[in-house]
Amino acid sequence: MNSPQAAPIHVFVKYVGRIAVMTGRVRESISLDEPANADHLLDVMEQRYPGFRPVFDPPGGVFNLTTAIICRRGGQPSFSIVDPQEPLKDGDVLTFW
Amino acid sequence: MSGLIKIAVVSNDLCSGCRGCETWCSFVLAKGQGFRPEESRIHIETDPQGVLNIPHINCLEECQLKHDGDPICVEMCPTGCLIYTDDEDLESKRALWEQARQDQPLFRLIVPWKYPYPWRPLKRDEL
Amino acid sequence: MTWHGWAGRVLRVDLATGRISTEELSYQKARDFIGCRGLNVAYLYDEVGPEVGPFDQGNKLIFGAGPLEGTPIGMGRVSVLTKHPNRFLGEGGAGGHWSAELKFAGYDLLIVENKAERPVWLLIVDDKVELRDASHLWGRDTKEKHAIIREETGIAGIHVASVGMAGENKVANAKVQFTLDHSGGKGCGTIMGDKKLAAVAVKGSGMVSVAHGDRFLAAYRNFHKTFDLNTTRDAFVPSWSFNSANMLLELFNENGWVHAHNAQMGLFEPMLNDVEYMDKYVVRPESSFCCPLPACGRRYEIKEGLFAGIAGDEREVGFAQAAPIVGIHSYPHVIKFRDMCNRAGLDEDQAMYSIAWAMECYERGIINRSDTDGMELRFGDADAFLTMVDKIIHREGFGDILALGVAEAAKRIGKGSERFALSIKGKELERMPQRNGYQMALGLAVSEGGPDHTRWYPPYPPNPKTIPEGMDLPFDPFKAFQTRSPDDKGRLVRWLYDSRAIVESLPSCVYMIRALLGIDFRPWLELFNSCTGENGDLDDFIRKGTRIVNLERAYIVREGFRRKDDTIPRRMLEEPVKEHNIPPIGDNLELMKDDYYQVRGWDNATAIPKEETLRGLGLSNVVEDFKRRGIWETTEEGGHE
Ligand code: SF4
Ligand code: SF4
Repeated sequence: MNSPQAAPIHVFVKYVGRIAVMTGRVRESISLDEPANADHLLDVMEQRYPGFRPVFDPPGGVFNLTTAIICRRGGQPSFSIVDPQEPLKDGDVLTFW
Repeated sequence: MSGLIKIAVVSNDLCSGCRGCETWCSFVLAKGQGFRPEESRIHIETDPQGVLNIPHINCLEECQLKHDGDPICVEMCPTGCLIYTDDEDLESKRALWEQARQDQPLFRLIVPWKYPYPWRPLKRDEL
Repeated sequence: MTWHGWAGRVLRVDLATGRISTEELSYQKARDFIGCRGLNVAYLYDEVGPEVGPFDQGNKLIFGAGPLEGTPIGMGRVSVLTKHPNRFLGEGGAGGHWSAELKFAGYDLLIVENKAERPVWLLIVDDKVELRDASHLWGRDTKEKHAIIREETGIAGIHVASVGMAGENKVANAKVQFTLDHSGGKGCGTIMGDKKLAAVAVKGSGMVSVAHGDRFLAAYRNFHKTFDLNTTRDAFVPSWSFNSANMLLELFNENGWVHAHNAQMGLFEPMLNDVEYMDKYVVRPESSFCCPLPACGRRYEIKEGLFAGIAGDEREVGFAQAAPIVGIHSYPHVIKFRDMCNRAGLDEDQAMYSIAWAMECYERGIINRSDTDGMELRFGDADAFLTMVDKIIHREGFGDILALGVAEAAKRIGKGSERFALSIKGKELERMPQRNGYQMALGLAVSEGGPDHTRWYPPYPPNPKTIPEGMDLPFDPFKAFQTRSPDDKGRLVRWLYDSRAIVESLPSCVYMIRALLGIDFRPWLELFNSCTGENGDLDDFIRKGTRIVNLERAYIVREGFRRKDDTIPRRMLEEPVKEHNIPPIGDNLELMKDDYYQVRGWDNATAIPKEETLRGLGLSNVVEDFKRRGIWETTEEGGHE
């Protein structure tokens, strides 16, 4: 089967407090191949900002305990992403802090 | 490190005026019986306009209360303004801090070697 | 007796006669109510009854340090207390160094009585205490007052509590302003102004004694781990240590917590950015006494452009959440606003919410230029906002109406404007969201001190995953964590109130209630016991907090407050947060209150503590008082207007 090229999705990312110190910037837009999840996003982050992943996903630590990711999606109540497998959707606004 | 090791101030700009050093030193001098910043080997002078805090250190003796090699005034200094080292190391650390605070405004508030997380220069053009 | 921790002395100053006296602190009160916030209410309950009006001679103004003040746990925290102009507890905490100096001077409490005929100020240098003429200070702003006192006394390290123009002009919720731009005690500045007490300056040189130094040091090092950047397990600490409450700007926005345009909207873009603020305006750290965070407090300065030259100290610039409330996007305006509030001792929440209310009324056509001294008053007009702030401070024109507080202003304007006045017990909100955090709705509603989130900080329940196994908590962490459900919020909020009352009475800074220090109170108990030499157990310790809150409740009950007064603005009960699709709270508030009063042992219909509840806490003096006054026979309506 020749499946069509996966369409990219765009998410908007904000960095707050210490995380902005790590990235040197406060916001950016990121494209990901569909289907995308939080773990894929962390891959991109780790590539751009080495040392990013361990802060959010410490080896042997508990995901999302000493840091947090808030997701705002399409006018719905925001929620914290606690599962690396959480799917991401086009237009999501993700705030890392 | 080779020279004489002593307590030094990295920069007055890094002193928050918290008086933690002063207060803990008084605890050492009072042999743990209480806190009395008036009786301390460090005094924090605040200038009349309130724009600067200046630590004055008057301590020649070995500290009675050390932790991981640092005297308690240095241990409790939250910004890293106080340092326990020799002159040579002090100079190189000062240079390191000067550069870091140009690159990343966070380091107006703490010395870079006390900051345990990864950091990058701030991209000011994107703000 | 020998006191450790506590200084053991109360300083009384009668402004009418000029009499200054000291007395021994009541050990029974100290044991039962700890200090600071707790001791203050113990004294106020006994000394200022319901027959005394807020502006009567008999109202008192109490400044409390506590047993751990002057040690590195105290962080300069002071609690100021009076009978608020609305008759609830005008209580507030402030940081800086003032309170530590009061302890070093040898006092736990300062009680100010009666009124002066002409403006006076009080100087305390250890045992030397004197009232001085303040005609040269009156009419000056708080920073000028500090500078003049410093010059006059020649004491460089003197710390000053003062009133600004808002207090002198008796603006409803004026605060007491401390050095380093700390402020606290909404309504205390109003009463201080009414008493014509311009300032209290203090410098001490004595010792705060510690009963068991080795134990205290060990307990402190253990406490300190929570704030050590290398070891902290709390997501808040690393960012809060440098960005303070500014880190909340985006978080509030993303969660729909902002009160944009008088809480008509829950999203405000573009939001002011904390990093931009740090880069452009932050100069260096500036902390309260022994604060373990490197730079929760910072010095700021506008170096160029609009409002260049403004400089000061802050923990939360900007009251930056002011920006969405009135719809402005400019840091210089927000910083200018902060500076105006600091100099005048004006309560920023009163200014923000009363002007936002006026803006909403203006846009809805309820008021027009004939009400606003000819001004257009629309959301987003930063200059109009600042002009109106100035008018409130000086009680000019429309500002004179807003100076009464938003609830009273709405009563005067009428025409349905009451609906848009965001206040609780007649006092403006303080930026805490409610519709997406039911614990916050309940916490604000039942507060004895008007809207004040520091009484149940932090506003978010602990993540159940952070609670150590086997830890016994008096609420269900999983239910509590469901923040848009009323489930188990009564027990959660009760626990928050009682435990935080302890921290504010030791005292320490509520921002220290992080990680396990917000859940496990054994570290706090060990700090208290090792410092004071007391040896109570954990149950006894928590009961002190319960006792404090019950006495605070008894105080406002005696003033006539009842269940119906424990409420939140109609907007939160009836309107959704549209941008985040969050429904209004509706009946859930009353459900949570049923739950709360029940776990408290308070009567469900009236919110009056039951006799057995008070007796169980050793508050038999309150029982006798309530009987004598027939409080339990009163109706659900209560007695205050
Ligand atoms: S080294 Fe010890 S004795 Fe000397 S100033 Fe520091 S705390 Fe005081
Ligand atoms: S502990 Fe450090 S920051 Fe605090 S007053 Fe002393 S030198 Fe300054």
